[in-house]
Amino acid sequence: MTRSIAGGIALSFALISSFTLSAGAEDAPGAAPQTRSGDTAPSSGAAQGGPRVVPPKLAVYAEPLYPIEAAYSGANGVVQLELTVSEAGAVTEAKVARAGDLGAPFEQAAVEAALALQFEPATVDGTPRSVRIGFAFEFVPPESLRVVDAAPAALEPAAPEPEGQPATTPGQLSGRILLVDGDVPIPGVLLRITDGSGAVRAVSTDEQGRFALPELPAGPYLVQVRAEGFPPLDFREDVAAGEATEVTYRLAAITDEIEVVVEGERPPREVTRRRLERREISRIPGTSGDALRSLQSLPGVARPPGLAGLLIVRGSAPADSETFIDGTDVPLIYHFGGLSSVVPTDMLERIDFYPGNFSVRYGRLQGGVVDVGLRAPRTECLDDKGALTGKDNCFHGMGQIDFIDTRIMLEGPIAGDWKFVVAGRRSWIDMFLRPALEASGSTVTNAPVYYDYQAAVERDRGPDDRLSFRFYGSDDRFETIITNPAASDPGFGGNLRFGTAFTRFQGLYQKRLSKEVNLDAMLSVGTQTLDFGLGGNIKFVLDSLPINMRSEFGFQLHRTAKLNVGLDFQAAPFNLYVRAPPPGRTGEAAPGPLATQVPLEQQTSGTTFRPGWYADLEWQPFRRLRLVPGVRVDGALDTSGVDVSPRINVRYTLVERGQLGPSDVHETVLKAGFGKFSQPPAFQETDEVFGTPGLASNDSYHYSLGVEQRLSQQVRLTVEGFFKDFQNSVSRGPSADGTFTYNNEGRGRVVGLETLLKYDPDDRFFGWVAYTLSESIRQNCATCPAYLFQFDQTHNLVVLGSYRLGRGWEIGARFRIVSGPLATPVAQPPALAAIFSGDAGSYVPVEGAPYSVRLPVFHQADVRIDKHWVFKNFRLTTYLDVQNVYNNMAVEDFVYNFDFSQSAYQTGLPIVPSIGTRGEF
Amino acid sequence: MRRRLLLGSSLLVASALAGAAACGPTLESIAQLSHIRIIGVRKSAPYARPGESVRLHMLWEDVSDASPRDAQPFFAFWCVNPPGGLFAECLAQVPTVPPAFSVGENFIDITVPDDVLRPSPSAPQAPATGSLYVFYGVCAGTLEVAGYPIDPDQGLSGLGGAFGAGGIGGAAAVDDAISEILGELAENGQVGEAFLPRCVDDEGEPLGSDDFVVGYSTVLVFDELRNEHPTILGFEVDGETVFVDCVDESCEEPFDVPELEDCVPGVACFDACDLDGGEGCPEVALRPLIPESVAERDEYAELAFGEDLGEAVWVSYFTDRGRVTGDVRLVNDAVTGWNAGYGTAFLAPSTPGPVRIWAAVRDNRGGVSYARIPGFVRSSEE
Repeated sequence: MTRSIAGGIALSFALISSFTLSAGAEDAPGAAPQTRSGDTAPSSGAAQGGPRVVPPKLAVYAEPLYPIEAAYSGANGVVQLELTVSEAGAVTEAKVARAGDLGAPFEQAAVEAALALQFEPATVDGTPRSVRIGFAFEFVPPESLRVVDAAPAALEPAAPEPEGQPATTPGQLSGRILLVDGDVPIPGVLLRITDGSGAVRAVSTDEQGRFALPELPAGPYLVQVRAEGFPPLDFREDVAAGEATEVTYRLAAITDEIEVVVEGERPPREVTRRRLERREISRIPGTSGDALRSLQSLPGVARPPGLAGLLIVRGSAPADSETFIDGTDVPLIYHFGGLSSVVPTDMLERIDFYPGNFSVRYGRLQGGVVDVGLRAPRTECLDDKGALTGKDNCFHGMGQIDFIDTRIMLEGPIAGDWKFVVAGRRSWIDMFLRPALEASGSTVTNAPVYYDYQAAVERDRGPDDRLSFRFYGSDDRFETIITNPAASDPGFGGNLRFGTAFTRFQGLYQKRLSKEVNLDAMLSVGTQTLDFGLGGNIKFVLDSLPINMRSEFGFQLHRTAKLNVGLDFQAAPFNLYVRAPPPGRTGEAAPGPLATQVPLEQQTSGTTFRPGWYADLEWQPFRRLRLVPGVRVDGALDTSGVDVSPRINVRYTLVERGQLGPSDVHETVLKAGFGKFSQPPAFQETDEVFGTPGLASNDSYHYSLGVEQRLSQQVRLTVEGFFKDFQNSVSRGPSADGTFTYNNEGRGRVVGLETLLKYDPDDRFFGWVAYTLSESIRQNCATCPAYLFQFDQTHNLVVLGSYRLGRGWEIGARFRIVSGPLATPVAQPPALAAIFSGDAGSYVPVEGAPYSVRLPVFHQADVRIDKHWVFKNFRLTTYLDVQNVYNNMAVEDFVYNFDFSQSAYQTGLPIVPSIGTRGEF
Repeated sequence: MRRRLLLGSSLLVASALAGAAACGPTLESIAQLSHIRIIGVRKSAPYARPGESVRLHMLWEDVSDASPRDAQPFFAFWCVNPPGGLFAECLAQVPTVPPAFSVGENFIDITVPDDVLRPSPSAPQAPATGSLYVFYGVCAGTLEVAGYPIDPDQGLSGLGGAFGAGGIGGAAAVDDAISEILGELAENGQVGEAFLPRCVDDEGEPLGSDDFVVGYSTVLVFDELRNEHPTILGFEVDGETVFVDCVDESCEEPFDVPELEDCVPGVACFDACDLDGGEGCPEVALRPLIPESVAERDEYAELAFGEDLGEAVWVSYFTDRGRVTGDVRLVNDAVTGWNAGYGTAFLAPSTPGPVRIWAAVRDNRGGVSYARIPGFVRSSEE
């Protein structure tokens, strides 16, 4: 016997209308059939003013056959399905979404029955539409198939007692329901207990999270746990006659599993988009929970040297990659070169990381892209255990403190649909660095300190109508007088001043203008200041007013094709003053100590204007094939150059999930991309004083080919090869007078292979193994010798995992082993390694071939332990994050004595423990 | 530019922060004299004028275990206004003036060409400038120039003594010899690098940095601007003025250590430390007496950049025994001005006996002064 319970537990339905192509059959494996932001039209409960949606109505029911092979066990339970109902009302596709432990025969039976169902089609504004819905069959073994087994451990449902016979001693099922974090009891949870005959009992947990069903006939039971704010869970329990069965269920609140970013899902327009979940970001050991530092654990991202917070992506220079906050580029992503991100993890909705072959939405870059999204303010109400109550209009706050900084945040409703969030952070490093710097002989004028702040108001009427205004910024300050100048160059002494600050006021507007057209627009204006000085020889002051505008229209041309057309403008009035020695160039002889160099000067003002236009087509000619061809045109007023960049990305689903059977979770996706990526030369490269005017943009061609294989429900394997061909790179070469000037004769290539074996987060564990094999080569001209690029890393292996022990404890570890950094040696004996500069009193090294020595392998382990407590209306987390737990003295570079005749290894940071605590309500 | 410069400046600041907290390996300090070392090269005028004659004096010391030994100082000059102001371009290009050599003496006289001045490429308002690059060194072996060995007594072998010891030979002989050398260099594809003397041992093997030092100095040339050398008025040890053995040119003479056998009044006196200059030894403050007036205004910066900057001035300390805690100390910062705490501290060696301490004060416009004090380390039991 089976029952349709579509009306009861069907999860939701989502339109697969002609303008929501991306939510179609190519949707990510394992995704629940829930409405997804940006993918689908609103459900029947859509916001007012939206299309009038009528869900499909069941017209003809088809009963699934109870699998005969399951009769002995008497298994019962629910098979939840995902159905695609056509405009005609037919079920064109049925996928198993959840089947518990029932097994393949039940799933097969459910699918076969589902395909025979008939519906009155769904309509949108009266027009029939194909939709996807949730549907469930409940299987109960028919009486005719029940088999009574004498074995006491048989799983058959309890047989009715014959009349006149004394009743069999009943059993008892009791237990507790607890939060995974902290083992806090959860009251008010509804449990639905179904016996073998289909009879249903219900019970709720008390204040202690306990429940008890004292008089249960012996037999197997399906226990369904349903609580708002938690994912639904089903368990199978056996109740023995005369015995008490005690169980404990631990639930993870959905609020703890909010997807900030998820790694590896198919991107809509890019070949590869790396995503990480909030839990992963906040728990990766060695990062202190910093979102952007967690990127360094992904394949394709090289380990930066020492404290340098550089983003080195697929063998490209750090300056070739850029970070955006909702489409606006920001001048820096880390405070003081790597201590922490300028945007705290708490403020993030997502991090999209594109290591290469990114779509035409992004330009003027030839490396990678990190696009960070600030999240909407939260106003959901939580109960005193931290679970969602379903109510809205509540305030939340957070405070966190560790050795590096402290931060606070407050968010909540304003009025109507409007919400707000404000947050701020200040560093503590001045507290311990001031004494350290003074002990080293420096006079500290301003101890290093940083701030960042974010504020946002947002009107959120769903994914099709969002209006948001943000103000955020960052400020780093440091000033000291170095009274012990470097013996190797006394020019590195005296007044060292560093200050960088930026602000951005940003408006976002996302709106579905019609059924076929949507708009995604962003405008930001801000300020940007960079003030850097060292003694009297170096001074750099830049003040600019960057203006960014992005606007993209999406046109649904056809059920299989969507055209995106956008513009991406950057303009920045600026004032610049530079006094500095001529920049050193790779291959050029050492210019001598800074202390004796005559500086150059440039004082200028103007406006950089770099407009960009782009268009791409999301085309799905076949269900399994997805093509995204596009082209981008960029102009640069400052260089008078125009770059045209065609690109195409392709994905093909070779094996669909469920293709090999209803319970099959395997999926195989092939992907490939090709495109041209142009990046204008840097300012100093074209400046008439410091560089060579008239340079053209750097060009590179990205090729990638890969496969994504889902191995199980939790485990995925991604392998991707990439190749970058650098052409017209800005390079340096000797001019007629012997000095080096810039030109466009540079060449280069990067070839590599990225492998990611990932266990997606579940209630207990997440982790991955990431390995990148690559080689990055440069040439200063076509006939010049090739050399390894400064940041080349042949091997980069990252293994990490984090496990919830229960009772609020979680422990994680990360291990990295990476090829050593490259260094440039000095001349070896019998040649002299250095020449004395009589004016500076120091020595100038005679350098060997650039980056020709590979330093020893880097390896490091980090450990993190978290403890989470849940109090009434308050949650507290404390963590210990230990970097370099076995205190490996990683080699970062060579250090030399005064005349470079002796050398040793410069090692990195020793073991660094960090303790932090965080409270939130 | 901002992205790359931001990366660069961030790296520099991060390095400064890391340097404050990190420990590096211990390597030989510049302040610790142990082999052949050039303390400084002082020009008769830090800023010269076109047509002016400039003398460069070199103060060098050989405190190696093999001392005293025959070590040859030398000078070589052939380079004016190298491209990009890069000294290495002097080695990569043909000579811009006839090469001049001085072997066996601690000085060389050069004449600034009349047409040396060039306008600044980046600041038209800046005064025209020129630069002369003079190379020099000390060799504890046999010198070779352009492949020809120099006999200490006979000069360059095979060239008829054209480049004689102690200076340049007759003008006609020099011209002929240089023409011959230049012709050979051109045939071999060699240029200025060949004029940089090599130092070899008896087997003809090149000597390393313990026995051979090569250096260079720049003579900046202006029409009007002048710069004065820093001045050293005396020396203080532990707050007391002590005897100064020599200052500036008087130090050019071969070092003549006073035959100290014990502490005498007026001479710096230190107690031996069993830790041999290590951490935990008593720190004895010492500093040269430098008047604040040495920090002149940087007129070039004012004319070229409109910046009111002072000279950057720093002092380097050296000792042949014991240790100093700060080998280079800031005296005046171009932006923030005078640093009265430019002194350092001396940590005595474990063995009694004479000790010598040097201080070289430099500014960033080619000025330098040096002073030397003798001292004595007495037994800690005395």
